[in-house]
Amino acid sequence: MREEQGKHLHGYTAALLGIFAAGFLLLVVFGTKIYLQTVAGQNSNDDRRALLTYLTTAVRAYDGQDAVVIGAGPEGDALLLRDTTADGSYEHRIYLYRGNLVEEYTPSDGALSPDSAEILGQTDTFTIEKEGRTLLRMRTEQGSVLVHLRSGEVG
Amino acid sequence: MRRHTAFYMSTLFLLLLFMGVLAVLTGVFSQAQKKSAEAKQLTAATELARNAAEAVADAGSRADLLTLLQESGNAAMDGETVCASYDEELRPSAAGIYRVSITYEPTARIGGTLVNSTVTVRMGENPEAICSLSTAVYIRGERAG
Amino acid sequence: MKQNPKQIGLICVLLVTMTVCLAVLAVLALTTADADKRLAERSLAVTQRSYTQEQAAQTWLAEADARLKNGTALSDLPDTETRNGVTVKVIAGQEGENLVIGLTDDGAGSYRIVLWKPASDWTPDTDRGTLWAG
Repeated sequence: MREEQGKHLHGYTAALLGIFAAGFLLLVVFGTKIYLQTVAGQNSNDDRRALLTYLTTAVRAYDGQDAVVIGAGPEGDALLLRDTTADGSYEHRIYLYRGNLVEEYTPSDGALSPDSAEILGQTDTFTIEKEGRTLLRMRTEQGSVLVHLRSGEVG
Repeated sequence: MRRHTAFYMSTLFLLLLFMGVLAVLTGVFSQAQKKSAEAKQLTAATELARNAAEAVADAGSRADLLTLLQESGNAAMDGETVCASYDEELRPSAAGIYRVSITYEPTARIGGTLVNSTVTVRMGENPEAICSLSTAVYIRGERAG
Repeated sequence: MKQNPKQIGLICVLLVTMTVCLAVLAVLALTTADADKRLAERSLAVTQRSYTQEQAAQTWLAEADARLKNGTALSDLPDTETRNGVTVKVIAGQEGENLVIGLTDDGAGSYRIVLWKPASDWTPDTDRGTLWAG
């Protein structure tokens, strides 16, 4: 009788522990999946904002007469933002180089120096198209962004 | 016998406690997943709304706006509202889940036309807007329509 | 039976440890998602403010064009200043985010937009003492 009760108790304890273990295992699997998804989503949003918002901000900051020019970079198009000061003419250049969108700020007559350029973010593509009146469409791996140049319009 | 009863009662209590912990933690993880999805939608909607507003700034008319947004047949007129749709990756797609609607309200002024526009982004069949913004463009001379 | 309490005690400690670890992971996931959402909301708010300012700027442009058509000179437009031959209008925004519009005379009551840039109000903090006297 006692032996039977002992066996019964042992089985009950084992089953209970089994339920606990299974429950925790499921929660661990579910939880880590959610956490990985959350972090991946945050990184994706940050990358998208970093590149696309930066491009928009950069072009808007240079929205002046003849200040925004589409040039040629080492691996495609280059966005050339001209800044004419009392000391001379400078360019803020944004272009694609070795899988990254890079930027540099140099005198206008200087050559591109991609090795010393600052990395903005990763992308395999960077193209600039002019559409409409003065609408720039810039495409990167993170997406595309439209910027309308208000300057140059005649009223 | 009493010892066994006490044991069963305490294990039952443990089991209930364990289920409570599971429920709470599952709820927290679900809440995190929901917020992450909302952040992704909001980021995408903001980008789409900004692009649409820039297209409004460049367009000289409602027809121009439709042409600027048209890619792979994703844009169409819905009455006087210009609508465009995009998929999850924000690529233009006629059957996309993100729906951008742009109102185009021209008002005649002495030198030209002032167009007020509201850009709204929705998802799927949900009538509630994820985001919306208002902008305007002044078009010199010709009448916008 | 004497062995069982020890085993069950160890298992309980393990379960409690696992619960605490999972709770930490849950809170971490929630705070990460919450931070992501708040940043997205802030980005949207900035974008909305920017286009509300654009709306004000374009409305001013319409009014300015009307005045120009009625014979007012570009330099005589109200609330503007002239810098190096460019008539400048500053559209004030929230949190010091202004929009600077520059117009030049294109003849016969017309204008040309030569500047349309965001600019921020920034007052340098001169109260921090000299960093390096040279």
